[in-house]
Amino acid sequence: MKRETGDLEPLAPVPPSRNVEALRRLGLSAGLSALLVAVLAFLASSDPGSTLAGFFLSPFRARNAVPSMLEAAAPLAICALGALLAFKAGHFSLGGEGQLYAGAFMAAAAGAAVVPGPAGFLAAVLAGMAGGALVAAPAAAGKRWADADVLLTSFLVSQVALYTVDWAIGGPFRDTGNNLVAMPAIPAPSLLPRIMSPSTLTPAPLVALALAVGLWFFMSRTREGTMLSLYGRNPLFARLQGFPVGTLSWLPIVAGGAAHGLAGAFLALGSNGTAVRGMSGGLGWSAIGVTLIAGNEPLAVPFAALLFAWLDLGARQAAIISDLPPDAAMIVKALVIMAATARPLLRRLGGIMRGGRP
Amino acid sequence: MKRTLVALAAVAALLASCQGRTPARDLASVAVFVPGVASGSPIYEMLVAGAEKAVAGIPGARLKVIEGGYDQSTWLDKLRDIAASGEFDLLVTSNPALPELCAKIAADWPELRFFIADGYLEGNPAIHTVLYNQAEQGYLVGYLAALVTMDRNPGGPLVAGLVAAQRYPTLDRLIQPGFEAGLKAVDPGFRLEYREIGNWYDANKAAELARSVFDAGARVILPIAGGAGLGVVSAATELDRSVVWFDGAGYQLGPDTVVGCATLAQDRLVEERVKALLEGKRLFGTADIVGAADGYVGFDPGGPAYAALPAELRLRFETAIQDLREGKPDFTLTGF
Repeated sequence: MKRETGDLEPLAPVPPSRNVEALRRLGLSAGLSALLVAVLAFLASSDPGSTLAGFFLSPFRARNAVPSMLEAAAPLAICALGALLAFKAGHFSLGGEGQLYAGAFMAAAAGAAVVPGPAGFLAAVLAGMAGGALVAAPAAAGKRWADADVLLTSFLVSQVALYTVDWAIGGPFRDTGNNLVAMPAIPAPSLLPRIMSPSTLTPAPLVALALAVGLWFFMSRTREGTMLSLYGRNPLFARLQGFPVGTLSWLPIVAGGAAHGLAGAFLALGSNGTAVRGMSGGLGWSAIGVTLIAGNEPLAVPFAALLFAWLDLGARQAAIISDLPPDAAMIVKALVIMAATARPLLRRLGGIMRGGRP
Repeated sequence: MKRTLVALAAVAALLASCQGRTPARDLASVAVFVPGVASGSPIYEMLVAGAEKAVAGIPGARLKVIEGGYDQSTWLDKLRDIAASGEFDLLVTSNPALPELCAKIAADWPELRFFIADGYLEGNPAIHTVLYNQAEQGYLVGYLAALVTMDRNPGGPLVAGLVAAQRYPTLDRLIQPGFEAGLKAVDPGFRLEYREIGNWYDANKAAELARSVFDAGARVILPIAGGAGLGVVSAATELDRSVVWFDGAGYQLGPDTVVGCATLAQDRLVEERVKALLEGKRLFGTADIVGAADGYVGFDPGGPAYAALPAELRLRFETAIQDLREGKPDFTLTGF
């Protein structure tokens, strides 16, 4: 039908701000998680009531539960912030797991070697960050000088790091007096101080929160952050604008690696008190899920990490007081990540079903 | 808004119903923490069986088995979760690595008590441990391995194998020295070929290492490798060699290959100690060591491959078992 002159196109609705969108995504993820947990409780447990109590009440009932949940969320959030920084620059780095593990290893080695106290703590943190950055460096160098695919190189180097650290912890760096495959204990004065016994809470969650605010400020309030974001969306445009694309092609990858290394250092300096073989435990992979659920928004990352920490703790508590398999949290997390990342597709399908155009 | 209120009310009702069903805290509530997977692991199957028998004999007592999986790095968190749940009075477990992890938990939850079999920690007022004298257990299978080697290959190389998952203090200080003492008690010229897998589950790697040990001239291998030990059995079966087994009856894994099984009476020990603790016996803070003399370390003669050994060999071995029970040789431990 021909439009008459003077007819105006209706204005498109104003899109919600990115933070509101991230919060909405988080809320939906939390709701979906709760729903999936309830379904799992009825499908996989012979005592759904206890399973639901384990998931929804136990993580908040015990005197140490909430602080311990905050502590568990901290390394996850720090890793996710590192991954997010790389993602914002357009580098889909999959090396987080190896970077975290290398960070834990380096921190345990430095923490045990340097004089106990603040110096030992600082040395462990710096060594951890250096370890993570070191594992990220080959992928960064490959991108900078050979335009290599970060997704592939970061994953491959991370796998090498995982095997190497496994070997080092179980071999030359092992504490042979320990029945666990672990490195020598870091002296207590060099560890993160516990601030709410019997929970494992340390200042690590505050560091994660500060990093989230810092990254938000950097990305949204500084010229360098804007450049990084524009480079991530369109490197050619960034180059034509005269941005330092050489630096932007590698620095976010290394900085992301350092963040993973910091998280690894906090794992070693926390309740473990050293590096134990296998302690990365999929955190690097979970962090990618946290980033996706947070919609790549730094301020939403701590909340997404908290959601994952609750799922882990809830599943473990449900396994203790009922018969739910402890790996149930993995299933829920996977489904939530799928749902969060499939939202644009679902929205489009919804549009089609309502009779709109595909 | 109305829909939100209805949803909130539904969630509140659900939570309230769940809380009603949460079991109340009992005076004798026992958690059995399996640091691995119970099924297929004789030592952990006996741990569970012993605890179940003990709890069955105490009116009002209840038991929950919680598997910790193979990832050692998660055990501390899982133990902390058990303590934090507030559901249990006594945590029962079994592994040499557990005493120090439980000591960390005990410091934060002083009301929780621990019984750890196959571990040693003295002086912690919340923890009772019992260590098996595994030097004696190693001696038994070493002695048998030496006899079988000399019988199968007279005049051949005096070599036996040990394929372990990883090095740990109990292996270094008890099992391996005991195994070597058993070999050398038969012939001082025996030599040990040692290989390390690096984990407790990789049966393929274990089989590969076992083949290299057999290539080095060994006729018999002792695997100390958990589930990975199956790889050693399959390699031995394939090459028509033999295996001596540890900790439980392993004959069914290779009826023609497993020539002997040194056993631990873990089910009996766990049953006795858990029952005593639930009855209020003051054992916490103490650490015991048990062995062949009191029947906790022994040998299972019920396998077809053992029965097929020459009668003279079996007689010599059974004499050695009897001598060990009488303290010859003497492996007395006063601490660990």
